[in-house]
Amino acid sequence: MLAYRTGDADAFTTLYSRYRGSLYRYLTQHCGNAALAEELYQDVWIKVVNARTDYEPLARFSTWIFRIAHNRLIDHYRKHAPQLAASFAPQATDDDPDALDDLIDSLPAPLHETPHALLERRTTAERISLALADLPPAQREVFLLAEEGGLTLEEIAAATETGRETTKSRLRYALGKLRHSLQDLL
Amino acid sequence: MSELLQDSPRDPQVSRLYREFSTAEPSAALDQRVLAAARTALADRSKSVRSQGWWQRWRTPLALTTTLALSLTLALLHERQPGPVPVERAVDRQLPDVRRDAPGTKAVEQAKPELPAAPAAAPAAATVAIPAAAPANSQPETKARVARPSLAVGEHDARAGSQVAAEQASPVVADYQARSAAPAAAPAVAPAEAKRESLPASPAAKSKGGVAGAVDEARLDNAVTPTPAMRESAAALGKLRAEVPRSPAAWLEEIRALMREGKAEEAARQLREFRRTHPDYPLPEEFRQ
Repeated sequence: MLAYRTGDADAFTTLYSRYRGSLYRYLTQHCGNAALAEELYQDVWIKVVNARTDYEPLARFSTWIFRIAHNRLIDHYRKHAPQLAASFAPQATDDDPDALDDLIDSLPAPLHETPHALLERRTTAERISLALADLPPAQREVFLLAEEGGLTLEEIAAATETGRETTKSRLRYALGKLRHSLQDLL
Repeated sequence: MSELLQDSPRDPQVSRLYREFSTAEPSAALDQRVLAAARTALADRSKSVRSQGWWQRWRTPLALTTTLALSLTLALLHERQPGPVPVERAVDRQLPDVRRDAPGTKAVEQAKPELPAAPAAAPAAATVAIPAAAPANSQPETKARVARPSLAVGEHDARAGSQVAAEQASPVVADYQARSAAPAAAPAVAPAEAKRESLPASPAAKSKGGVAGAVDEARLDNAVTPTPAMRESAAALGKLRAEVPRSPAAWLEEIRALMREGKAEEAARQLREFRRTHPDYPLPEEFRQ
């Protein structure tokens, strides 16, 4: 990123190729909509490009870019689904079963409800996506940041502006639910 | 750190399954759009830098360079600016004017070709020049006092100065003078005094056997015979000498002159005083015995 800031376009290409897949999957799995994910994905990279002059390597680049993606998602949800955006708030009570059910109910329509998705559901990948989509957004996000971004608990906590223990709890719940959903595939 | 990582909830089977089947990637078109946007941003930046123009690009380095040059110039000027005028410079400056103005000096110059007139003219120069210097210059009293002996023996300065200069050319002496500023403060006055010391003692006999015709400065000096007026002025000069700091070289020259005149006792006394005043000054070979 520092090289790109000084005018090295190739440095950006290297950076892009390193994070393109993980960032794209993070957004796709998070919002469950390929078109929307593409739009958000492009927005995130444009933000990266525009922020190059102010970039300071205070943390890992992955932490920085996934934080941008996280904020972009929140902006999107605030605009289009305010109740969903509230679920990203640090105060979200993940441990409360009723609250979790409410959050699941508020999720956007899963892909398996569309005819095209019904076909794809037969594949394992769709099963996984479904399982992820079934997760509360906060838990899904923590899981995706850990898997796609390779972030530690501290980095996830910093990116999502939550406490470390909250993050840990969310990740534990996410893994437990995914294991339960994908038990037959493990 | 490892404790923190161990602390993190993990499920390797779920992670493996997720990574194995979650392989979605952005389309090539999307990649191209993003990369094109990144390149465009860089191109815009360089274009904006280029369009800034000569002045905008160079104004900062130019301003810095100008400031630096000005500061340097001011510092150099300040360093070279003369402080209070040193005594020897004041003497040098006064000397030509006073010579021109003082009637006694003119008398000496006129008397040069006429050897018989020299004995009369020279004391006149010694006595008249001293009062003439004071009104001619509105310098402070100290400067005027310094100027007087120089006037009286102005003609001898060059020769005495050359001797002193030869002595001062020695690196040891130069080093000493660099260390002791005070004795070096009056290099022009002291040589004059050295010659002044020898002036009244010059054998008058030489002048008696003087040759008519071209008379050089040495002959003119030697033609001076001690008169009451001259003795008076010599006493005044001696007093002045005590007041005006002498350079070590000039002092040594005085001692030399005393030895030449056979005043061994006075020379020894002066040498002792010299050693007391300038204990670090390297003595010439002749004075070490």
